Amino acid sequence: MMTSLYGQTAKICVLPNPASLYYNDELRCQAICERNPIETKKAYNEYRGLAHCIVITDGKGSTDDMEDIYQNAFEKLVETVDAGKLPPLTSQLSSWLFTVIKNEWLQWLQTGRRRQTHEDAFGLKYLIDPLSEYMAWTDEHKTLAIQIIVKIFEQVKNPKHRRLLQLHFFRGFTPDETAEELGYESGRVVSKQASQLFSKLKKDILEQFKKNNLI
Amino acid sequence: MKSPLNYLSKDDAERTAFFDAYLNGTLDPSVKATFEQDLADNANLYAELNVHYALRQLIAKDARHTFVKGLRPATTAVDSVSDTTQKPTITLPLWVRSQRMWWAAAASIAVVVAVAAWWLNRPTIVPIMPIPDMAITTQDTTLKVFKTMTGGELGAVPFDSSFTLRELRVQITTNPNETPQYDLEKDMLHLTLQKPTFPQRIEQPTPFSPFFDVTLEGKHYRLVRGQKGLLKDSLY
Repeated sequence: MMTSLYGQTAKICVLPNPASLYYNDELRCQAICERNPIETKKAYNEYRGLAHCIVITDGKGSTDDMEDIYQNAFEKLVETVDAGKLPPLTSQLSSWLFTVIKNEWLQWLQTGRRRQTHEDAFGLKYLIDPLSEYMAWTDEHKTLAIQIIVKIFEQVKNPKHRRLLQLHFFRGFTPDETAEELGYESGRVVSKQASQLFSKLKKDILEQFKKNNLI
Repeated sequence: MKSPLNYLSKDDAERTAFFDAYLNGTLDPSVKATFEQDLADNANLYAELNVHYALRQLIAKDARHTFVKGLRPATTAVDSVSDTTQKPTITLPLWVRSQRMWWAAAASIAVVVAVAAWWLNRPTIVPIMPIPDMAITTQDTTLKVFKTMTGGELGAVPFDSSFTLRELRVQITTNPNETPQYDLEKDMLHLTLQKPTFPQRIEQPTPFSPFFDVTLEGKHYRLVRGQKGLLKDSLY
């Protein structure tokens, strides 16, 4: 039993076993941080009941809404774990996720949208704030800049190239590890291709900025 | 005066590594100071650094998105776009359809047989007989009965006063505004007075123990005052 969004009591809640919460939260965070697929999937499935409770039981939303919202919330969890903010935990992981899912759902209801738009799909607004201030951009300029960045990034359609960028620039794989993972000849090839890809994206974005008189 | 940016390589990999080192805070302090000075003077450089940072974050978010999307159950991992697509229709072979038809017919027959069996063996319901003493409805009669029951006054109840509980209940419930409310519920008799027209309120802690003869049920009950009208099996 738990309090619902609207002050009612949700009668059907599929909650994770409370006995396992305290003991396993840090292990779960560690598994997420290490991208352990089995343990992370277990955690993902374990907390889906929270989203079900908030979105479907209380909010009368659809299963698709629930899955999308839960995916967003879990991405936030992964992001927070990656940033090293969660362990040591100040609260139960389930409580943390419950709050995030609830906020996602409320935002979802407020904006009345099925899918997030490209402009804020990656939460870029705050990332280019320094540049926006430096260049004294208006809101329109800022939106345009975000659209340009996302549009050019989305042009990388090849999954192998995307994976290359992710492993090389985000996951901290060495070039040799990345080469082994993706089947490249050597780590040197990986470094070269990843840097070229990254620089090309950067150049394209800066060119578009200049073309639109943003810089 | 603008720096010639000699320390910045034209090579993609080295340039990327330089920006990464600055963002990670691992750049040599002297180079860092020069670089920051150049950042303040050179808008293009500042924009390049910011785009570099935004792209790094974008890649990270993309990686997380891909990772979490892979965790979704396979049946729900499709985007909402697929909801609008037409689902393929599956045509079952004839032998499966006919087999299903026979099963459906058998199930229907079983249901009909079960309902018929229940109907033939249904429990007989005995109709409730009308109560013969429904006529006692007036206030006078009520008062008379009440006074007789209580011996004219509360507290002076003759031992042999006995009334049919059914009669008492009928006469009282037919005139609820002027008579004491008696309501038999299971083995509880609730007593209240709606209007204080009676000499005394019956709720007062007065010795009051008439005997009721519940003729139809063939049982005797005793009303015990002070216990909120609890009916108990009488020793009478």
